[in-house]
Amino acid sequence: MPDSAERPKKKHSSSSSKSTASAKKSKPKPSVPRTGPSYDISNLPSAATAEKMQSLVDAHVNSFNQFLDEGLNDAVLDLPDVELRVGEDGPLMRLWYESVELGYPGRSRDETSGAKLVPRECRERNLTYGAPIHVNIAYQLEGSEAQRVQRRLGECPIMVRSKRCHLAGLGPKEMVALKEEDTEIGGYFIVGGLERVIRLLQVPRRNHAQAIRRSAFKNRGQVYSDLGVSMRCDHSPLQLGQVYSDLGVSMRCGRRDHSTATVTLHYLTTGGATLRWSVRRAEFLVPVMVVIKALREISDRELYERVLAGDTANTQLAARLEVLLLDAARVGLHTREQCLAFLGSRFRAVGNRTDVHSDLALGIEIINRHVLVHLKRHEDKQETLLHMLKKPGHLFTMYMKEKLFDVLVKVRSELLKQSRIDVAKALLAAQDPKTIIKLVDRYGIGTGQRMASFLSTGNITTSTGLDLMQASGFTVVAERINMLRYLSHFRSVHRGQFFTTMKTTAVRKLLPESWGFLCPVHTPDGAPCGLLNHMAAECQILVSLGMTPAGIGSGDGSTALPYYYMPVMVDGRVVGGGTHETLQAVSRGLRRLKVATPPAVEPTMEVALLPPMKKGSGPFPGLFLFTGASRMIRPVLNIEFCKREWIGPLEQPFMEIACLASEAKGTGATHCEIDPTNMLSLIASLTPFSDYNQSPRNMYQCQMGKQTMGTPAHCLYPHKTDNKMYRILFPQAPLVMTRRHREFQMDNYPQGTNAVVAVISYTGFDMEDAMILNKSAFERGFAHASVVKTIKIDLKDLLTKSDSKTMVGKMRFTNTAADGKGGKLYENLDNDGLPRIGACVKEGDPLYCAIDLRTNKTKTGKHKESEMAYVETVRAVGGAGINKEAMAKASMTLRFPRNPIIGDKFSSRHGQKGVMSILWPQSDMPFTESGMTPDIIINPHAFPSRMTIGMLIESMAGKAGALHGHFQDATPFSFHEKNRVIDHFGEQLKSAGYAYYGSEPLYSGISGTVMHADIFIGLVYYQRLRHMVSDKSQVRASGAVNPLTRQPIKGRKNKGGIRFGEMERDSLLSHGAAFLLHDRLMNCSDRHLAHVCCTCGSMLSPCHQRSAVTSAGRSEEEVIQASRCRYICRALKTCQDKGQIESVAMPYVFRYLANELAGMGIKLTLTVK
Amino acid sequence: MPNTRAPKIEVLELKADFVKFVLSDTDTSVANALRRVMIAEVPTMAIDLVTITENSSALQDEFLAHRLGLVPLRCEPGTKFVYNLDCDCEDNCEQCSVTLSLDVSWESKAAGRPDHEKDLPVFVTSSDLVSHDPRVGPVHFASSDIIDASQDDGIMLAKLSRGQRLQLTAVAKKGIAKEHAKWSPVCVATYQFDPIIKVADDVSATLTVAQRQQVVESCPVKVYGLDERTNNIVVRNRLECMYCDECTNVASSLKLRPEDDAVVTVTASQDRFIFSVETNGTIDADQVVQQALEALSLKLQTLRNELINVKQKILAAA
Repeated sequence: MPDSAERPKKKHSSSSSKSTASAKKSKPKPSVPRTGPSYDISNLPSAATAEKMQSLVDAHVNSFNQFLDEGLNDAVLDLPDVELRVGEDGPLMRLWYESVELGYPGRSRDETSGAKLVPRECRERNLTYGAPIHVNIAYQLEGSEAQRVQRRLGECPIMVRSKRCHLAGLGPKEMVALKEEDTEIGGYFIVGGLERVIRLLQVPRRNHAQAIRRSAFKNRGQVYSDLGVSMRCDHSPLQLGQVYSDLGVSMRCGRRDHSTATVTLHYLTTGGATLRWSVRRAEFLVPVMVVIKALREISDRELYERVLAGDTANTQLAARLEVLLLDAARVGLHTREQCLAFLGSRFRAVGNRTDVHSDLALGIEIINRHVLVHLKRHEDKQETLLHMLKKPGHLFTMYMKEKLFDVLVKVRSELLKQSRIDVAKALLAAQDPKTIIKLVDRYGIGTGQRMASFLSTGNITTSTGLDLMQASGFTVVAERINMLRYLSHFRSVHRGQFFTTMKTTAVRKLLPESWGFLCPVHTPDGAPCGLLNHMAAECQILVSLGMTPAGIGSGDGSTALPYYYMPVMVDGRVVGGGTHETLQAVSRGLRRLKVATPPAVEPTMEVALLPPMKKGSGPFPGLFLFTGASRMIRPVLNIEFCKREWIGPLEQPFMEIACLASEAKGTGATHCEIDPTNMLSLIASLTPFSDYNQSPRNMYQCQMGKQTMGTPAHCLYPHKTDNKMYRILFPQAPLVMTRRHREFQMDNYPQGTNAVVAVISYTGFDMEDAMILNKSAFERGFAHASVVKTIKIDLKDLLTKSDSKTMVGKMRFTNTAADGKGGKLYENLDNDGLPRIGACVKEGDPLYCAIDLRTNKTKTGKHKESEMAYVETVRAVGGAGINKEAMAKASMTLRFPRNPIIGDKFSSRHGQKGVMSILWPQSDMPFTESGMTPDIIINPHAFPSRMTIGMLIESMAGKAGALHGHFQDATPFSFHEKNRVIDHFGEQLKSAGYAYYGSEPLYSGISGTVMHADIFIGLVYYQRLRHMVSDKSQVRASGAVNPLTRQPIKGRKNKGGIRFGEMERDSLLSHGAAFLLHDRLMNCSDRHLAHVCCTCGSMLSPCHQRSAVTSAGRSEEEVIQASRCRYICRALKTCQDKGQIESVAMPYVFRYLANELAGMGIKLTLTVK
Repeated sequence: MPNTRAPKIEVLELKADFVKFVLSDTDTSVANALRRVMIAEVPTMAIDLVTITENSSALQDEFLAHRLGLVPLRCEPGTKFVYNLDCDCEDNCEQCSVTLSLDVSWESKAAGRPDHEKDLPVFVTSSDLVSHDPRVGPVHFASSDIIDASQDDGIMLAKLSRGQRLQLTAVAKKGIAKEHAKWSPVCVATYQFDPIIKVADDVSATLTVAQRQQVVESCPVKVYGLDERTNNIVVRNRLECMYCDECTNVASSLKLRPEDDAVVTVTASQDRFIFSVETNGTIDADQVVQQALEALSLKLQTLRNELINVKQKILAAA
């Protein structure tokens, strides 16, 4: 394309130059008009846009890559060996993993053979996008060589766009060739055709001690203490004395593979302290002195001095220490060996260990595995523990690790079982690789399946608890309602299921440290408010550095710091200390190194200098350095060095960050924000002029933006098989858009229309947030939309349970009878038993027809919905080959046209929602001087209480933009008092020949006279929301009833009724509408004719004389009328003889009540007069 | 009779698709009735029934049908059709409808293309619609010059890529915009009250030139100007006035006392209406006005006949 480069971007610029137009005349006209947006076939998003979109899911994709690269192997290396003794005194056998590796998704078992499995196919065929897990298992019998077997443990789901995915690193063009979305971002798993995302979970910071005050701690025992104030980082345990006896300190420690273990220190009212950790969900409390001593040989004196650190005046601390030391002495443990052996002996049962290990060794292992796991060297551990006595993501790794370990455990128990039966045979078997292979296959093959089911349900079944506070809700479906909804799934951060049940609102608060990391606007209102947050657009999650921070500092356990020194800790390890002044200089130096080119230290390192505060308040002072993963980071401008610097949430509250560079001068600010809108999430920053709106309105827009009928995807119909998608048919790019809207090229996924909106109270149909829609605008296509649903048909589901799984020769789709005669069975189906593309299906029409080849019976599936639909796509999605299951599965996409009808919901981008109340003819609409009629009329009452000034400004800006033919920038915080936004757009309006403030005199369309007031009219981008009356309308005359009470059932799905409740009853009573009341509550509900014996008053004893046979199948009334037979009362002889039976109309529940009472031995009698 | 007025029409501007005229000596009600009839009750032809034989394009059938309906169809002056409902024919016939057909495939259109444009999609536009009645067809630009300059040939209906095809027949019927906006012949049909703008020269004389300039510049549509010689405020573009009150606001702010006269006053005349009618090309602008007047008189005629009928019935009953 030689001239594509100089192709004018916009239409008006091409027509503006006359000279080129005349020059063109001589040349032959190009066969494709050059102004058409499709002139360039490579009309794809640029690589920069694709990258920008990709950055939104970096946290997910990088995290999975980390799992593939390091996490998995690290996890395996961290797994303990499994040991068993074959027979009573037989040889010891050890089993362990040598390595684990994931392959690439392939269609056949043999992945080398080619046949790639691509995500698109998985989605369409409801497959799981997974790759095989290859493991090397080694085992060794005591005294013999280790042997190795390589096995495959099923298929593990693979994240799309991760390193193992076939889409990794592909550009927009290749994506389209693979029938994917051009800006496919990945970050999700495909399990059974559904796209599922692992939610980001907020957990306490790892490797950082934090003080907690929780009343629940008191319940642990008599001497345990409580007090109810929660404190964050209040005191560090080094100063044991300062810490009130009611405080526990917990520390989440990260291992290399990012699995974590929490250790908590409890302070006792007696002055002592115990350390708590959990092994396989069981909690263990150990006196802290025992652990300290077990870590390193240390004398009581040394310990005393170390803790006191020269602060001899602190008698409280000294007293505490004495108590602690006395405690330890009472147990009789003095040396390190004794302590270790003590621990070992107590934990033997937990460790799954054979008796070969000494208590000592076990003790060491216990310490290794459970206490402050992030440190390898015991000396370091003690140092930190002395210090302590604080602080996600890599859930997948953790889960996989556990499942892999489970396999070994199961193999072990199986071997053990065998050895119990026959030692000799078991011994023989244990030496045979085949046995191991068999066992590994038997127990291991489900590993992949277990990963898949974790992803598809979001539930973890774990024995260790994985140091998490919840067991379910880890994954969600990435719904493609529209693009905003889809993207926000990847940006959401959940606080944890546990907190949703908490009554206190403290956890939901917006904290200063989350500024710039979590969006203050983008959180739902209602139950999950503040718990489900979204990351700010520029915030990122650090996944892995690709390296392990090297051991810094001495850390030999001998650093004794004076008490007035503040400690310096790197990733939870004490490396030294210094005075506040020294540390200030150190942290400034570190920042210089961070932003240097090339960076001298890790540029993402967090340098948190917590300054000392007044005694007993504020967080524990010190210099805390963090280099680990799973931290949130965001860029700010370092003013001193004029460089971008990444900062973290712990250091932020102690930094001076100015909002604007101009504000930074003279305030002592060392940093400033790169852009004030960086605190907003992507979706929140799409709201135009959001700085002029009342803040809750912006929150509502974040919700409604995600419920808009927009453009969910480009390869919409043929290759996207989401259960439900909404699509608007005449979308437009908003005239008024923010900078971030452009940055992320959101125009590629438009979700609304620029509508001419008049703010006027007209006709009364715009009361209470209703809006009037111009009928002609609607007829010309305003807000036309359709709902796209995909249904899946598996003939296997039609088989009876007893049938074996293979489909061969059992059922297939067809449209002809078994004998092949009589032509088509159903006219609207094709010969293959599936509908034609483009066919219209109404309720009850057949969607498919299949034949059971054994019985020659046909089965049809019908269109169950009351709405008419068009068949968009039909897919045969069985496996390959004719004889296999090729024609046993199908899926089809149905399109439901949903053009706006009265009651459908619309909203502007400012949390101003309303329902369309009427389609008003254009000729009756008010019109302006220039003859323009509004598309939408909204009521002025929508503004005063909601204060969405942003919408008014958008209206003006849109009007000015339309008049001048350009898009308007609506980035928040770009105007201020000295550069008023009103003036900016007012001038534009005036220069276009319109009134300065955007109002115009309007003529009534009905009378033709001018209205007294000028009307504010302009252009506002309107969204159509997915809530439509067609999905909600519920009406019934008669229908299904509850069999027990004979009252109508509830629920729209079951064609049930709407409850006519007590309050409704009250209102009818107060109106005196007795007939209506009777009609609603009796005739239309459970009216029943009961027969009551006038003599005894019973309604249960009268029975029909006739046998049930003759009256079978007839209604009660019919039976009474048709037969001349009598009802008799069975209760008493007197009744039987001369009793008179009357039929009485009553609610059926009354009879039910009588029965229930009779069941309890209470007789209910009626007096019939 | 006193006050009998005969409404007059004075044409200010007349083009094929645009007319501007002054309707005078009548009331708002009449002017508004004329406007409303022009928008909603002047009959035109529009595609109403589409039979799609093949549609392998990316667009859905009903979406295409809707787009086709909105394509304005030009009717030669003097062409008369009857409403489909009033016609004697069974489905549709030449009296009440026009059949158009469309058959475009990528292969047929992309055939003669140069190599570098080979893979581009082809456009299906309204000019691909073939009318079976020479009197009715898709609206096109008035002159070939405009067509060349716009590099456009017709209203875009769909785009086809390799292997795709669109084949359909469409039946256009007569109708009015009251039923569906596609039958509306006008883009804009509106009127405004003729503005009466008065400059009080005596007040103007009390103002400084800068203040007069302020009044002149307050108007977004430049109704006023300053006389070069006398520097007095003069009205230059009276008809441009849109009653935005910007000038009167400035004028009242220049008053020394509230009871003073303002330098400019804008009032609307109650019996002169400036009409602007722009059509979408289906029928000529003057025709729109004429047919609207016809429609109005037909309504009045019907009303009169009804009245006669009622009277006769009452008489017969008596």
